[in-house]
Amino acid sequence: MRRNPALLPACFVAAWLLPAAAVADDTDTARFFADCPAAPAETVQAPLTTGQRMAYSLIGLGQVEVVRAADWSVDLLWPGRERRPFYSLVALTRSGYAKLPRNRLHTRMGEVADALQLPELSFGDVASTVSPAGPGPVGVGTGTLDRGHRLIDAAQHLVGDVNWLVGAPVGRRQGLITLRWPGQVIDGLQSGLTLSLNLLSGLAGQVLDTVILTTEGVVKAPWTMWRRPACQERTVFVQLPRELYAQHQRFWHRHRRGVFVGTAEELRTLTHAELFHPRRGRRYGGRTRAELDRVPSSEATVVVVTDDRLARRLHDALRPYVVPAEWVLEPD
Amino acid sequence: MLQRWIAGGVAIACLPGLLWAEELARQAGGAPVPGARVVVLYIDGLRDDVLAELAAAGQLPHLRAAVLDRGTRYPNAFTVFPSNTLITNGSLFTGRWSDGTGIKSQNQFERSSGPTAETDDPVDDVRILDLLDKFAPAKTYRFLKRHNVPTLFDLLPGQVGYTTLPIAPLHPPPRWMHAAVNAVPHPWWSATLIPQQLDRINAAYAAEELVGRPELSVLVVWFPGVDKLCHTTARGQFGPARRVLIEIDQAVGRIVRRLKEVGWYDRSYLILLSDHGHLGGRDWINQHGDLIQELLHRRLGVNVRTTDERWERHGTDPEAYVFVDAQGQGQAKLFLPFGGIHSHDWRRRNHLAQLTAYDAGPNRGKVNLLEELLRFRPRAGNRSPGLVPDRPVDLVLVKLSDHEVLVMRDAQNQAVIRTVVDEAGTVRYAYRPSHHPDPLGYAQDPGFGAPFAAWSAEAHTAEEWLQVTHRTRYPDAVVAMARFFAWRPALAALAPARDPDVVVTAAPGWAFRSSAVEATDHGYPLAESMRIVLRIAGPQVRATIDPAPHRIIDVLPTILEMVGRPELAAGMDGRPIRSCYAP
Repeated sequence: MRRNPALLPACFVAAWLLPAAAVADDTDTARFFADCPAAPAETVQAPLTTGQRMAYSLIGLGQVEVVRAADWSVDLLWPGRERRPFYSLVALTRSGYAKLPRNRLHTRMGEVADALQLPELSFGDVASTVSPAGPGPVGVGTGTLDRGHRLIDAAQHLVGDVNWLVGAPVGRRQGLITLRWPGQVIDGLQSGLTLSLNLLSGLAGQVLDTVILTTEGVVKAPWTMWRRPACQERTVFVQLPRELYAQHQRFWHRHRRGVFVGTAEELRTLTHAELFHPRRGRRYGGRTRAELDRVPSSEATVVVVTDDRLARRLHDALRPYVVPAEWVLEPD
Repeated sequence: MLQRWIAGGVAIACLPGLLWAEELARQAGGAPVPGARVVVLYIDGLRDDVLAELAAAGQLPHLRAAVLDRGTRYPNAFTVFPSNTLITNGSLFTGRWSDGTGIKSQNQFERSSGPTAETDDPVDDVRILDLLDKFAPAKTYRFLKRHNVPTLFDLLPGQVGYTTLPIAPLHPPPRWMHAAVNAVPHPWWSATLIPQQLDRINAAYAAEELVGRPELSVLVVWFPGVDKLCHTTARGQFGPARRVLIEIDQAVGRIVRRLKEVGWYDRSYLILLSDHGHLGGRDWINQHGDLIQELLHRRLGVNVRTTDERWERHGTDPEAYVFVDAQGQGQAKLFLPFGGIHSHDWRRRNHLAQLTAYDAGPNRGKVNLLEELLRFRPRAGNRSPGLVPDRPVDLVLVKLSDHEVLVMRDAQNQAVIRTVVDEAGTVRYAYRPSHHPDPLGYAQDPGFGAPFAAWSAEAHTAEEWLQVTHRTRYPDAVVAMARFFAWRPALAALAPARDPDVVVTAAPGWAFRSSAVEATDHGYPLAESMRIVLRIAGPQVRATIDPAPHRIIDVLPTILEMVGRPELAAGMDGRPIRSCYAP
């Protein structure tokens, strides 16, 4: 089926011009805004933007293990079920070692092997990266740093074992040297280094985030500026004493094109389109729409209808009088 | 009538003896084996009844083999109020009520400075934190550290291995991101996949990085998937979240295989627990009692802020707002400017006098905010009449003083919870209803373990309250609510900034949700939300069911005893559980 190329823009224009009467809301507020033009749908904001996802995923690639990449290479050559020969070899070695008789030597050798983390060797271990996790431990060669820490730990344990072995023959069950502070100092330095790098990593993550969000903001700026929300979102109702309206008469009069003053009863018989979309109906009130005189003097309270742009310039004394549309249009 | 009072008096007089006997029986168990390790399998939001049902149906073979069939089940274990993740984790990892942790909400709103200005606010960069799911674990940990509240991680320095957790010294822990990237099927799209596969990643991290490290004596593995899916699906654990639990079972199988491989399994205690339950999804789909948009923003006409959203009307003063913390959706804490919405006075909390005549602006005048909350009925009505109440708000709680909390169900149905300390320093709690029925419904509740009239005439200890209320609709509510509004002296300086003006809890079948999502929820003081999973298995542990009630604060003292450091539990509110061990 061939599609008419003119159809898409036509649909777009039709959607823009179609009244929002299709909304299944039957309240008086919905009726008031029923004849207004529909607004384009608002984009839903995800927790992470596309730019963030792409950047973090790209950085994350540095953490892919060499073993895994090698498995992929092999797997690509043989179609069918997934093959992971290198991973299986690592798992087999590990499980075989675990089955050996357990003693202190077994434990220490295992500890040193674990510290080296050869199967976990990844491309990022030699690169400078930031952690996609945001604040967290280190992106700068995380694997290398962790290996360093674990080797230091293993060395401390080995020294402890030797100390114990040397002390036992001379009756010192706690070891030949009983000082604890050297070990504590080394532990403290390790913790300090980790925390410092965490901080740096967190800062780097925040900088990266700022750069991504700023760039995205600039790219999206034309769309954001062009989009105007639906009339119902923009319309502002100010319900205030007649005298207060009169005190600010000059302000209202200066902006009379965007202002309608009337009573709640009157507004319940009107629509927003009649008041503010002249092409869709008569322009209700004409030149006197912002004049207090058009409201019967018996009314102690008047309702002003305006929009968000003018509302931003309201005098502070008027702000507490802004009310929800429902208060005016649906008094019950 | 006289006979009933005498019978009630006798029963109450006998209760301490019965409790003492039960406590003796409880403590009569054996002791943990020396040199043991502890592996905590923490499944966020899991319901005990759902776990039992799936296990009985043969859907959880690994959990059954490792924990359920060879361990002790505690079907009456409860969390703290509000039953929300961060608050319960504060208690889990410190062994204290929230009055001793200071963690009483998910976002730490500060009345004096707003939600994001304080340096220890865990949500000031919530966008990036969403990547790893939930809040800011390291910042919450630092908050505890700064206020000298010791956690598991401080008590056993260097001996605790953990995956990502709601509260942790490092977030994520070392090499976690490496494990995550290599655990997801497509690393080139890891930023999308990692938040979706945290259970699988945490299991892989625990098995590959933690199990086997000789210096570790406690491992904590968090599985957030069940809770996460419950928050986005109408049936929750009575629907798609069951599939997640079955996947977690596979992940546990991987950890257990590794424990056996390195020779730890036979000398390790496995503690399977959750931090809260979930309400809804079985008999009904939770409906939206939209306090934020419908009641506060539209009917009362005020601006509202939450942790990550704002409802502001154009033209109004954006600084005149109500802050609402409704995370969990089963409760909401309201923070209001003092005296009136336009006062801009955030220096102090509103008391009952202000709340019952709150200035909502010139067009609305003074309103009784508490009555407005209790009278609130959503415009859409009740979709399940007869099954759930017509009103979304169940209870309204207001702090009257440092020792008194007002509990309201309606204009007549009210009670005051009073905390009293006797000469010996024993803390007791009195619950005094003004009329019958009482707002927590204890007088009519068949699960209430004592004659109500005589019981409510006196104050009782926290243990006594737990004993008599653990089978009711509101288990442990009197103590849990009193503790929520209280502050230990060391943290009392936080009270003016962090005490909410009003706390409301949602009725069964309702949630204070403002989005269109249908889900199951927590935060309620109701039994389904307060009851947690607590199973213990390991050497010398009996395969049995112990109906004696316990609290989440008992878990840390139990862990410390298992690893041979019971003395570290001094000063905690919880007590070690010993009934699981064979004599």
